[in-house]
Amino acid sequence: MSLGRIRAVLPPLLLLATTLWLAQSAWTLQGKRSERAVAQALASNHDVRPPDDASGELVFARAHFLLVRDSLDEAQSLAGQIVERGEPEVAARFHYDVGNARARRAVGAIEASQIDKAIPEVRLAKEAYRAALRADPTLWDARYNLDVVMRLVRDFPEIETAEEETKAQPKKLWTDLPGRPRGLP
Amino acid sequence: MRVLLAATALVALVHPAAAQVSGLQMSGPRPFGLLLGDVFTLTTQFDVAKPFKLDPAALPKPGPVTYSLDLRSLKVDERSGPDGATRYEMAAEYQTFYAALEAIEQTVPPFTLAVVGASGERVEAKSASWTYLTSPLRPIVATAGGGATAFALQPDAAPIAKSLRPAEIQTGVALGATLLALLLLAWSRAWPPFHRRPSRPFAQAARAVAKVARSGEDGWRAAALALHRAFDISAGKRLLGDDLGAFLSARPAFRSYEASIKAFFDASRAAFFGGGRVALPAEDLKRLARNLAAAERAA
Repeated sequence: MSLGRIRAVLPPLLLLATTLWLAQSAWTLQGKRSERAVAQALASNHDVRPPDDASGELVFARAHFLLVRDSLDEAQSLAGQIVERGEPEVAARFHYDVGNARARRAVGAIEASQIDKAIPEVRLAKEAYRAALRADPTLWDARYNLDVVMRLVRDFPEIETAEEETKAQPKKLWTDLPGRPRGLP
Repeated sequence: MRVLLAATALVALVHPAAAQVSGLQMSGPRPFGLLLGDVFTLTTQFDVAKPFKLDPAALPKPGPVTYSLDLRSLKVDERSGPDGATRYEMAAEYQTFYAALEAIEQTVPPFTLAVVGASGERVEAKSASWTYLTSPLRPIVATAGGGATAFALQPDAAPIAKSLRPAEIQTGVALGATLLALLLLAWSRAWPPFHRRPSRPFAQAARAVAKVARSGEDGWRAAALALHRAFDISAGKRLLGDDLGAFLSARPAFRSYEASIKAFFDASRAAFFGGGRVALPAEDLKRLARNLAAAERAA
């Protein structure tokens, strides 16, 4: 191909490439704009459902909306989408919020002296905080709250008899009751 | 800063023939000041005598190791070591979930290293264990505020509103680049506002020809004149049919249209000075003008 031919062909090709780039970035911008509109609606307490192809961040915004309203089951049905589409940091924040919702329930149950209800909630909260820390070890709030719920209902792994059987299962644990619920002398 | 402590490990010999695994060394980060949720990496290095090879199936899988310790990942690196042995370097990433009430000693248990010989004989050795001090995050007795702070949780993680600015900037830049490319194309094709570019006479002529060529004989004449003016500008002088040879040899880009150009000059002579009969169809004239404009861009 001669230099002159390249000079003749280059401008249309360049225009094609930049047009494609423009279309792609305009499409991305439009998608982000509509996602932000949904996120803002959720933040201002409107119950909006994100579209099916929403990003992990937006699904997390919806899950957060549900979690602060104690709709735990509905929020947990979004877990797969968030873990699949979002960054690990977003998944960690979701698990952390689930842990907080569980911990709030547990504290409420303890305050109502319903210890039997509190124990499974605490266990699930611990699992959620652990999942959050696995996804993002830098989420310090999850460390703090895990420490809080660990002291709420403390686990004691059974004395490990054999070295091989170190993989402790939750079944092998026994839990003691919370030492002193809030409000009592 | 991470202080790496190389600890010569005690190799627990499971099998008397464990001489196949030698030089086991483990290093880890500082063995104190770890908190709940911390991630640390233990590096184990050892040599395996040939023909033995490490059995990857016997290595621990990522997941819980003990109740309060997770194995996050295990990377094995293999290269040739001294005395024809194979040197393995394993980086095991752990995460501790031990919620300490006071600074307390914890141990990462050793795992099994199985090596397999050429005929399937199997020798097992143990990696080293590692002991560290883990510290609590909070005091045991809640400080001021009494019972209320004992169960106080850190607030929920709210979704972060991401800025649209990077996407907006990218779209703006893409728009600018598209406009620049459009300008470049217009300049290259002598479209407005570059339609008077002196080095693109044929592009101008092609537009004029397309406009008038089909409007009867007068149109044809006007189109032929426009094309003649383009030839004149391109040659730098009035170009007649006899000068075509010299003109084409100076401009190789036009040479592939030599026959059509000659036909045009003949037809034009016949039209202007002959019997006034148009011999070249308007379509051919238009095509010639278009081709010449394209050839001029590539020149």
